[in-house]
Amino acid sequence: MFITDANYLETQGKSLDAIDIKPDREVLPDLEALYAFNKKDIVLLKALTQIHYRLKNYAEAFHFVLQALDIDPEDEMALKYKAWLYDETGDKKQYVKTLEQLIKMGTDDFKVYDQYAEYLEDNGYVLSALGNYTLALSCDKEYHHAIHAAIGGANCYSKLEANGIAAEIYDMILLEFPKDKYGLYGKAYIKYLSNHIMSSTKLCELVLSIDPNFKEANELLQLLNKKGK
Amino acid sequence: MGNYLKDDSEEFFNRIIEALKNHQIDNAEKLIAEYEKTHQANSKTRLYSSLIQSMRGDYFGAITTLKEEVELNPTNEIAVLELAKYHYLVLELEESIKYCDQVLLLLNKSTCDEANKALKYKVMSLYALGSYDVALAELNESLKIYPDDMLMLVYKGRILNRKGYYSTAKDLLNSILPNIKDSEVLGHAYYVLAMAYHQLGQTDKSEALLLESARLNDEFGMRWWKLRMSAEFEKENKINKTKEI
Repeated sequence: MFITDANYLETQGKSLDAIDIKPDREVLPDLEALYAFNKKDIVLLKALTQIHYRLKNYAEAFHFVLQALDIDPEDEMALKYKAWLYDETGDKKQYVKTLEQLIKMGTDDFKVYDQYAEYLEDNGYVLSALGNYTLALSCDKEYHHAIHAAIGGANCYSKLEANGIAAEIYDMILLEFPKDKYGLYGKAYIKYLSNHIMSSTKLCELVLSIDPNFKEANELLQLLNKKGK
Repeated sequence: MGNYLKDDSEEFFNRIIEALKNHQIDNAEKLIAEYEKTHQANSKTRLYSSLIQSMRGDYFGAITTLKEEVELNPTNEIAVLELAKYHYLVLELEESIKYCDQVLLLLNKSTCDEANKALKYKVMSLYALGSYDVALAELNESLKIYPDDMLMLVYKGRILNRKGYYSTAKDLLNSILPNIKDSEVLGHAYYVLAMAYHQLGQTDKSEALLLESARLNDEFGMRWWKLRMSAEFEKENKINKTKEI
């Protein structure tokens, strides 16, 4: 493709439209041709990042996202790609730092809060994790992922021994997703804590009928069996 | 009640209050630091410092400051009540209950605002712990003194739901809804009522109430509503996949 000043915008528009229609490898040559003509187009740089990210060419994706961020250090989409790239390449420290930057900027992206909450929870900052799971839920505009944040929130309440609230949320999850293994396990665990051995055992068995390899449920069932004897 | 908010440097503290009212937290902090250059830290400065810490979201810092105050002045019921509140907010529920009891003991069963607040934090902490029966007993005692406390009435409905008394919860909530003025409490009341209707199989009513609760940004209503939408999205996805096959 021959790019000129006259056809640049039109070609760019067509190439960007093709991103979600054509296979990634078919779109790439046109985007690269555009990049060879203009290396300062942030929209193009983000598109190249997206394609390379999807193709798992993480080094290439980094190359383009860093150029995008040179143009606009606060571009939210570019920062999100940077975060996911750090995540994919195992640089947890930079990943969390980038999530924190996005949160500081006031992002309203579900995934940012949800992933940050998960990091906090895994590292023992349970109360902060709870706050971020709640924020994640309120940002989940397309309602696709509510269950992850709801489970995360309930688990945090449980870890903080607020089992009354945790139980209420697990029940709420099971109302909408009756066979959610995490919801069932959470409920089983609270039943175990309150010494309801029979119902806890039944719930554990139900979890294991859904996923026989659910480690925590297997462990809890063993504990329950010992208690029952 | 001890007069811990009275001091001879009234004007100085008025400036701090003014700054806090206008959310000029840095300014308020500077004023306290300025005060402490010429005066010793006292109950008032510690209370305001804890307030500033909480306004910054540092509840644990506020707890530390308040504990210093309570160690020096164990009968300062305002500081003890604040401790109950912050312990509740960070979900240190047993601690919250301990300080609530301490406030109630200090106030010797008087029917003031502080006593009402202490009872509220106690009920909410007990609920959060899952001690629904104890929470309900405390709540009923509290309602004898403060029968029009809307938040406590909503909590009563919430406990009744947890205990499976959906019809009683529904009747209670319906009777108080017109009297709830606070939008936060109203949002929560809608959630509790929606749950009662849902469990009673009257889903047409629960749907509308749930939406209202989510609109008013109640945490629990919002969570349930998003879960509902998520479940519907998943169902649609499954149907579409079946069609494709």
